[in-house]
Amino acid sequence: MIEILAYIGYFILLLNLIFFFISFSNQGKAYKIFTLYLGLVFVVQILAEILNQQKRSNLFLSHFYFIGQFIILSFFFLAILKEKHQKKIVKLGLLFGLLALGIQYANDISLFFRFNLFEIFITSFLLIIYATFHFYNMLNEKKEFYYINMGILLYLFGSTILFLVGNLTIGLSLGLRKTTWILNAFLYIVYQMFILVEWKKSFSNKTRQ
Amino acid sequence: MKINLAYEKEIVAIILYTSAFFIIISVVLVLFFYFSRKKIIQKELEKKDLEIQYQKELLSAVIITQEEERKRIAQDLHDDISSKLNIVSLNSHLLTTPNLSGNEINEITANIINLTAKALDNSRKIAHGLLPPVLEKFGLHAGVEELCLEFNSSKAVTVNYENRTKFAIADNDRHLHVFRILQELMNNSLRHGKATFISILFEEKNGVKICSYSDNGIGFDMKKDTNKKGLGMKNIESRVAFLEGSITIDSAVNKGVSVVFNF
Repeated sequence: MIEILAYIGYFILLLNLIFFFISFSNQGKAYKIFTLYLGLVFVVQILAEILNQQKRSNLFLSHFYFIGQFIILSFFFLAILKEKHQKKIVKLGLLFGLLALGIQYANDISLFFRFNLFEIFITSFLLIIYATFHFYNMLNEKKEFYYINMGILLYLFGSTILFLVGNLTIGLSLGLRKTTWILNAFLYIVYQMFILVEWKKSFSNKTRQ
Repeated sequence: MKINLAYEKEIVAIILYTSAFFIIISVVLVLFFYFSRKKIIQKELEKKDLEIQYQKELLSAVIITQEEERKRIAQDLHDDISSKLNIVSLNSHLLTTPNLSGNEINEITANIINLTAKALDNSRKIAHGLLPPVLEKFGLHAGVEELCLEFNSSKAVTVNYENRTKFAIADNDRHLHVFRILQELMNNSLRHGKATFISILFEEKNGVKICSYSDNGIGFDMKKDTNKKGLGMKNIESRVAFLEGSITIDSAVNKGVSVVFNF
């Protein structure tokens, strides 16, 4: 069950990556940054899958996933947000977020092999705030990256809680542990579907011209 | 015991982070709601301000047109009628001078008759220009037909007029606006557009009367602000607004003008 859901998620992710890559030229900065994000997520997923197949722990990849997502999406929002003070907040958030994480890892390197709650917490809520900024900007303006923004918000909301309790689930039995990850895989499919819809609505036409 | 303590610490951390996460999200949500409301209200205020501004402009346009019309009437009266009546009065005074020969009297009376006839004719023309009697007596169709005839007879322009609907005389008050709009449009086409061909068509669709007007003049650039805010155009807009209709104006340089409005 969980494998099928996860593979569907990967498949749509790959599809998105290909679609976004096809119409890569003649697009704005934000679009390119987002394609980079899809690429990073895809690479992390593939590596995680490979390590999983070799029965090795792939938990440390989560840090690359969270921090990578945080950095790239911060730049993504930096590109699409228009108001000066919003951009300033994003820049400050990125700076202090990374600084805090850097200090934390310098103090305790063992965090690297577990779920880092602080990392999940700070990267997610900052991104949620940026997404809210973008929604606020879109209230009376042209809808740009509307579905992607919705997807980011939905997925971050749902998955953050799941990741926060992630360390707890390690202690649970295998069967029970899976239920949370099934939910996560399902959320991930929804997220990727939103990205696909965004590409279909906003960018698929431009490729044909 | 030590493991248990670590585990409890872990749980507490998770609970703290989760609650903090939810609290921050709810604060974000509340702030989002607050600022969105503010933004929407501000937009609405701006919209209302724009509306008021627009109405003010329309009003001033109406006042200016009224003044111009008065000026024109005054000029017409002064040039065409007062001057002639003046001469008539002079001639009449001449008649009272003693020892006039019969020939002279004849000449003066002929002069007076001639001038009064001209003054009469002019006053009729002025009245006609202000409100064509045909429009009042026979309705919009006849009025527009006569208008077209006048323009056609100027030889500068060919007007093609077609009417596929019927106008009730009872609606004449409204039809006067339609007539004025057409008058303004035709004047514009001739004066500014240098058009040689004008077409007017009345239709009725789903109980709504539609007038389609087009010419082959030089047209204008829709994007330029100076073209949009002309007095005549504003006048037309306010008349259409009065008729509770809508108007679409389409034009490009050297492509003529096409105007469609319903009433």
